[in-house]
Amino acid sequence: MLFKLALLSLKDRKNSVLLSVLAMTVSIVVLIGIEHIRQQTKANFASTISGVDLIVGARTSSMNLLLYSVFRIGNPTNNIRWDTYQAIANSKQVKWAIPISLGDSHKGFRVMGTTPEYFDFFSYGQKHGLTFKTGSRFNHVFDVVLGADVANQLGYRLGDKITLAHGIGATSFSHHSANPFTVSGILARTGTPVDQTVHVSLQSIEAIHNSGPQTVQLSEALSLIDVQDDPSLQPKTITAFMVGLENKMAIFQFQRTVNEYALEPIVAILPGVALSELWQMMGMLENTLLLISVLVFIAASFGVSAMLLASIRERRHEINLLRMIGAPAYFLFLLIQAEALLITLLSCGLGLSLLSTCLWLFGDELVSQFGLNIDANLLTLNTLYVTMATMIASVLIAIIPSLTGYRHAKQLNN
Amino acid sequence: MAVELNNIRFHYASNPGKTVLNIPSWSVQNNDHILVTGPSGCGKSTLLSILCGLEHPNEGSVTLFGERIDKMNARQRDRFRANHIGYIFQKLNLIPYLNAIDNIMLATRFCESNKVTSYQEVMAMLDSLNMSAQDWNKPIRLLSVGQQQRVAIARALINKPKLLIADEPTSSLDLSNRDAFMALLMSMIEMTNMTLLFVSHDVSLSGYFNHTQQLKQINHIEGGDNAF
Repeated sequence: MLFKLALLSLKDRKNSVLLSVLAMTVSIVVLIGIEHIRQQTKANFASTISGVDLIVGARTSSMNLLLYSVFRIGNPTNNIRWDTYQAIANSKQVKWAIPISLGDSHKGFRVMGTTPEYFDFFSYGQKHGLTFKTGSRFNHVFDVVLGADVANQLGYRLGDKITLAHGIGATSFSHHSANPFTVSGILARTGTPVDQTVHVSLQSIEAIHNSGPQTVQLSEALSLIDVQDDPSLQPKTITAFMVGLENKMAIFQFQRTVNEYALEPIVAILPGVALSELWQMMGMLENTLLLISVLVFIAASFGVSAMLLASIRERRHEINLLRMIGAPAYFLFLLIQAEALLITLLSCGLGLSLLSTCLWLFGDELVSQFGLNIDANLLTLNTLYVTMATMIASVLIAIIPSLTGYRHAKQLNN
Repeated sequence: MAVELNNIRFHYASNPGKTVLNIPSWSVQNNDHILVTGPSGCGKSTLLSILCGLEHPNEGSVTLFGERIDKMNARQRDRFRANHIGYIFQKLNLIPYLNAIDNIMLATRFCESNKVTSYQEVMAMLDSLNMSAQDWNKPIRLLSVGQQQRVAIARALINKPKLLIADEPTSSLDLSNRDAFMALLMSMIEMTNMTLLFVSHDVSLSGYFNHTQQLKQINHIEGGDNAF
């Protein structure tokens, strides 16, 4: 009866109630939207790389090394020598090491030179390995493996021929057009920067930068096995390499060994540690956004309370009547609380549907424009918590009009 | 005795210098139908508020059906009112956005002895009040004043109260509606053993009642009738 009365009473005042619901809905869209995107980004972010114990690159800040080696953001300060890589990769604590070489691009997507083992050892999320949607890893020098987004956005299929550009702009004047690559595989979607990466063999990176008559010849299908001892295709430098250790307990000791490597200034970072450092920097911005959305929500709650407070005066007769038929004064308190709760509930429902629809409609835009891979499904535990928090907050703020209603009910004739 | 008042004095907290009620002694017999007349502003609504337990006298005792309601706490008085008192106002007797049935059902919600009132009972009552079924589910504000007052009678009687208080219920009705209302009200309570306390400025209604009293005979305010 209480909720029926509250609902019908709200319906009776639908104009002012509708405006309050709108204000509340907007605030809930902002609040849950920001919280959802925050959680999704954080989850995406933390799952960018896993199973890699150390990343080694030229001496720089750990943030910088992480950004260019994992996120393909910014440029490496310096390359490291191939023999440095070999010296460390061959030490007996190292289980596996995968070199990567960056610097070229294809239509705005970064090109990464690596070895075929990359597809065995690189993992993301809860130790998910890379899987192929179609095709397989590169077996020939001029084979290329595309990330899911690259293939999707550029419409490439298996067997297509593509050319790489030097530098990283979408339009480059220096194309390595003498050496077309053949798409040998397309990776399944990972939700990490791997999706936006063009993978080629280290040898091909070396080959396209050695302009000369010999390269034309190379574009004929050459097996990687055949060329692995060819000194002219042996890379002289690489950008960084990823390391997996035999013994995980030895990570810090091995990190120190790498950092103290005497022949070249190099640095080893723990991806997990660097990721959380980076996230903390972004956390500031994030918390500010969250704070603003909380304030917007509180403002909307006060708006609803003001509306309810104003309604009490015009409902004097109603309160009088309820008292006369035996309603205790606290019934009026509960009635106004119920109204506030119904407004919040309605707004939460509207807000969540609106947000879901928007994410569903513009999800692809978010991925392509901002690289944000946001799940349109809002029904997570976290959303539930936020929704409950909004209920509690609105009930707390509605104490103001509810108490006024209670006091009116107590002293009818005044 | 249905109502017994002794040595009642009352003034509003906001104006302690002005005594609104001074009733040395007043009582109403069980099953009596009594009309209390008096001009507005002579303490009528205050007296009714005290009888309902919404206001508390500064001095004196209020006994309804043998129970001292001035000794009860607020919650007990609310309960007593819901269980034993029916009330009809001058106007705005009903919640405008609820329909007739919901308005009546709302009154049963607070009454402990009447948890089991069914929609059938409510409909039967509306039927006996000559309300056509098509108006039962309309919001109250779409009904005529006469229809509203009939729903108000149903609302006041649904819990079978011992005491029915009517506060100028006919003052917003025209003459023919007034007579129809009075005839209907009296026929509804005729078969019950309900005590009726009817307050009005309209002395011509006295034919419907066993007794008629003037409020100034009950309420002895110092400084005479025109102390306001």
